[in-house]
Amino acid sequence: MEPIPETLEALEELDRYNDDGDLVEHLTATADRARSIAPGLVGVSIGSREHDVTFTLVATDEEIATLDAVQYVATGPCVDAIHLGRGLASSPGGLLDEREWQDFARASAAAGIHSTLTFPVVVAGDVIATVNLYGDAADTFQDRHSELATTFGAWAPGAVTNADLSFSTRTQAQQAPVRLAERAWLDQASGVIAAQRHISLPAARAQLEDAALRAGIPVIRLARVVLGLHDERPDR
Amino acid sequence: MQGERAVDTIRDATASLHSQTGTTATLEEIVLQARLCLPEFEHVSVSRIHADGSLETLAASTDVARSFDEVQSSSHEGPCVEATEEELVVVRDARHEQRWPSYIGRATRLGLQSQIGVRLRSDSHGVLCLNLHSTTSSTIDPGSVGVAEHFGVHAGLALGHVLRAEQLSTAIGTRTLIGAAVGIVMERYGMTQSAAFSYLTRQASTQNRKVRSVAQDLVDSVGERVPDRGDDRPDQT
Repeated sequence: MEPIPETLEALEELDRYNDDGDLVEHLTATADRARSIAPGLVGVSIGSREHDVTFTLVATDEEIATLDAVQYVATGPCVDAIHLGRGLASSPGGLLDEREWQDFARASAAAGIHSTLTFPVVVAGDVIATVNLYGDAADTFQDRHSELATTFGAWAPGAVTNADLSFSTRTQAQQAPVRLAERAWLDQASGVIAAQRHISLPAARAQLEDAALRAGIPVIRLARVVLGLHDERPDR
Repeated sequence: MQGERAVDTIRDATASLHSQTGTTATLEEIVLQARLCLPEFEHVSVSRIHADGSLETLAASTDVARSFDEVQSSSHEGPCVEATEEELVVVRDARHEQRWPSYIGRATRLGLQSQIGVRLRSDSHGVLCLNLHSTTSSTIDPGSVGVAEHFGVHAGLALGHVLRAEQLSTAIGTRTLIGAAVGIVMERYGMTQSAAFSYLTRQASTQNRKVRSVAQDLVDSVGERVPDRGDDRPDQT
């Protein structure tokens, strides 16, 4: 399997800062192992909860083209699962019984995704990430939950089926490079404020958030202003 | 029957290995379950062999196990270093072992009688291996070698999985840490973003440390230190 272009860009950006970096190789190997367990696997998304960044790998160019035809949605049950910090309990009849998702499910099922499997990744009691797997048949993941969860270090009992037949996580993954760039501005601006005011990093970040809230502007925008002011100072 | 008991123990052990969700928990579980599956080896460790040949103990059942690792590390030879993914290395009656004279000489003085070295997996961080040491028995049952081999395969798989699952999260966290450190350097030394990042990587290189470690020191230092701008302003070239 291979990362979509935006995921490749995001992983390479992370590897710049990662002393041990071979994230692309490791994620690809993990996805390939999952495909050997479930041969109908055509897509894998891993979303980091804390950093709101999603990475997606797909099986082949042909499948990428097929998936490109899907009408993506801005939200979905998997996104909600991350934001709620827990897995979602699926209805007995699966997602297709739920009217809210029926149209999306039907549209994307026609485009090639016929089953999905979602796992939370739990570390020290916290959901740190969500793994979404996409299959080309209704039974792609049948009787394979445990093995697949193990492959990704995820929590098998938290598995949810058919919660994202629209493959909405791929849209999120396309935003990963932008998310990482925005995150970098926030981190750097927090560092500038911490050094300027001799306060801890969390305190600097809190001041940044608070100031943005008071001013009624997005914190990302304020972070860019802080960095812009820094660059314009006469001692630069 | 010892055989039946061993089968149950090994089955439970491998299930337990795969149920761990963190690297540290998995390492500790490998040591614990190895002790249960192979009780004749009292001193168990999991260690990483770095590119320079040194060994780093990641988890150990006893201080004696750590001592054996230290001897193997400074000797740059021994069963752990020698083991391959295809073949584990068995030392029966260490007093008569002819291989790795430096390691064996010092290890037997620490009480080593027999040992098995099992390679678990290798990645960009180095090679991970399981070390089983006995200070009470110089003989090794042939069945124990098979158990060690089987156990090693599962331990390697379990460790590989959790390393991957956490790696992505760690990488994003590292980038956040370094981003904040870049901001601190920008403000402290009046640098641009790119100059600040170059400064960090230079510091890491000259100090032979990881960038994230240098970044962590800088992040820890804010709120504690009031630098006098200019006194320690580094060369930006």
